[in-house]
Amino acid sequence: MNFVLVGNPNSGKTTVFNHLTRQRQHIGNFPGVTVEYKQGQCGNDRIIDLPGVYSLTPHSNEEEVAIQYLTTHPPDGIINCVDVTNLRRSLILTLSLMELGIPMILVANMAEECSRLPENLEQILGIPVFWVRKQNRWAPAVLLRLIRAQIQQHRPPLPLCRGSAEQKLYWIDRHITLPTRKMSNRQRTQRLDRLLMHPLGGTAILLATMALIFYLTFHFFGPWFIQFIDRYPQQLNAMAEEIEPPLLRTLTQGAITGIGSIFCFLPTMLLLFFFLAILEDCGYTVRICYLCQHIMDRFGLSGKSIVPLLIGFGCSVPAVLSTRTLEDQTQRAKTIRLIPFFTCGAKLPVFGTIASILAPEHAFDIVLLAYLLSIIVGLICSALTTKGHAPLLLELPPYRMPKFKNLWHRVMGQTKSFVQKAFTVLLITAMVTAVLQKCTPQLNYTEDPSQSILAYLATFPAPFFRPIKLDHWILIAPLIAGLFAKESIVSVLRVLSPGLAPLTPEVALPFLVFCALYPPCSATLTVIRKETGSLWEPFRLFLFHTALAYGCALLATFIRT
Amino acid sequence: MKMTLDQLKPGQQAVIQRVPHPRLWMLGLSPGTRVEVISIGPGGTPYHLYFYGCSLLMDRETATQIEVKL
Repeated sequence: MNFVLVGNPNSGKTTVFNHLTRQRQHIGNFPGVTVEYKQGQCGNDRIIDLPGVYSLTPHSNEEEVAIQYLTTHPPDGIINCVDVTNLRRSLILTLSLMELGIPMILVANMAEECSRLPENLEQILGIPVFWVRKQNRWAPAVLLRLIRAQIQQHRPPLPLCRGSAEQKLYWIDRHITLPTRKMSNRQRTQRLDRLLMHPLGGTAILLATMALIFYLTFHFFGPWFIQFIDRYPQQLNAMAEEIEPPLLRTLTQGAITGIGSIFCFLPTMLLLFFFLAILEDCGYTVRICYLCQHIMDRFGLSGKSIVPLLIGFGCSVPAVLSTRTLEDQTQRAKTIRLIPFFTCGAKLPVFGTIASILAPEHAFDIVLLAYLLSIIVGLICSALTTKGHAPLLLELPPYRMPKFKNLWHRVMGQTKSFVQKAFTVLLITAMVTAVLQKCTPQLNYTEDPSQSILAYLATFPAPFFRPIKLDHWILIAPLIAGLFAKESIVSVLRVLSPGLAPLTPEVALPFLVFCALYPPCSATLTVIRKETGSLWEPFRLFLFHTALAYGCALLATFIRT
Repeated sequence: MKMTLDQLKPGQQAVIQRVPHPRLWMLGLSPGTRVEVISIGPGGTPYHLYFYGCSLLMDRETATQIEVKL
């Protein structure tokens, strides 16, 4: 049988789904973490988790997806999840679902956070209600038995109140005594809110939190992980020296270098995803929206855009995907355009390498400056193209202790899209560049990279790069590779010139600026094309970023001289 | 003169009179609902509202469109 899970955003729907299907999937505290519907099996039953919706009238992307699904694939039964602490509003959707005439049950989540539960809800609505409390939290068998009984006895719900949302609210107010939230929980949330949402104190805490996260990720743990892992590719490469013929050796070494650079970098990114997941799971992200609304408003964005932008520090691909939570389409397009300016983690090794050449003792400051430069340029661009205000309607969830299982699901979900990209695009780029630099244009094997196809190809864009002093082929080749994946910039650079000789302090600055601003990787552009549905958008973004990076690098050369 | 939600100060309560957008009804804001402004964000936006056990953030522009009575 087919069952569908429907409920408001944040109603604990995904938790129920995970428990029914035991499938990996992320659970969040931010409205609308599930945008595509997800499927899972529970015995012989198929369970579909629809995105969180407030109504059956399409107001946002998620609602459209949900309604489309319900009308095109009518399920055998509906499992409607409600958050008891928000029962009044949740029941609007319940009443709308009852009009569909499909057998359904109500799963009332977070019942333990309320007192005076309306135990007669079952009689009033005429459908079974399953109260989820701490002690009976996970009872998938009971849940499925309830819904199966409804289907077998042909007991579709009776439409109790047809009409607009407003009429439904009146009906609910007349017929149902609402539960009260336990004071202790509300007081705790209020007390924390008073501190964390304070205009001055809250902002200070926010800045301190972000600084701490970046320090721990990029300065404290990151370099340690990289040092730890970096030895292995080098050892493997030395072992691969024995392989014959030379072409196979080149391919193997290219693959080792490519995979090595991913593994060096993966722990850092996992860590960043992990910290951001903690912020989101405990409910702090929404408070960040509150504190940032007035700043984002100046750039024509709402505070909600902050979440995709923060994810952008990890990887632009999941960041672009997470913009689906933004209801307003212009908002969404604008946020997507801003994401490439929020330096993704893959550019970090580039900044690190260049910073160590420019001024080794100030490496961390230079990296920080590169991040700020990119964000500021991005915000200026956004402000210049903006008019009007962005609406914000966002529910403020109570603080909850983050659960390790949720964090794990979320981090894994985001890492998966990165690893997929890494093992396809990155591996191929690494192997292709390895071959290109060991083959002459006459297709003979050579040990001298300056005789290779790569050197030959890099001479073509050289005149273009001359004004910004990046006309050395060893600098151009990694930039070209970086168009496919930013991780390749450093790996290609290291393969071509292990001592990084062409990267003199003189060219390091324009190189840094160019790397910070030049077009996002092909994987990001592909996702942008998929998400915006237009071929022109990624193309325009590519041209815009090339021009911008070139202009800023030119400025940097002038400043330098 | 008609009063709108954005004129309330933190800690003030009011009863909603008119709501322009059906989207707001879905969130539970209907005429007759008593809302309290808990706090206002830095820079005068957004409004942190509380009603029927639900906390909601709303930007200033939307708040100016909601008529209320003290």
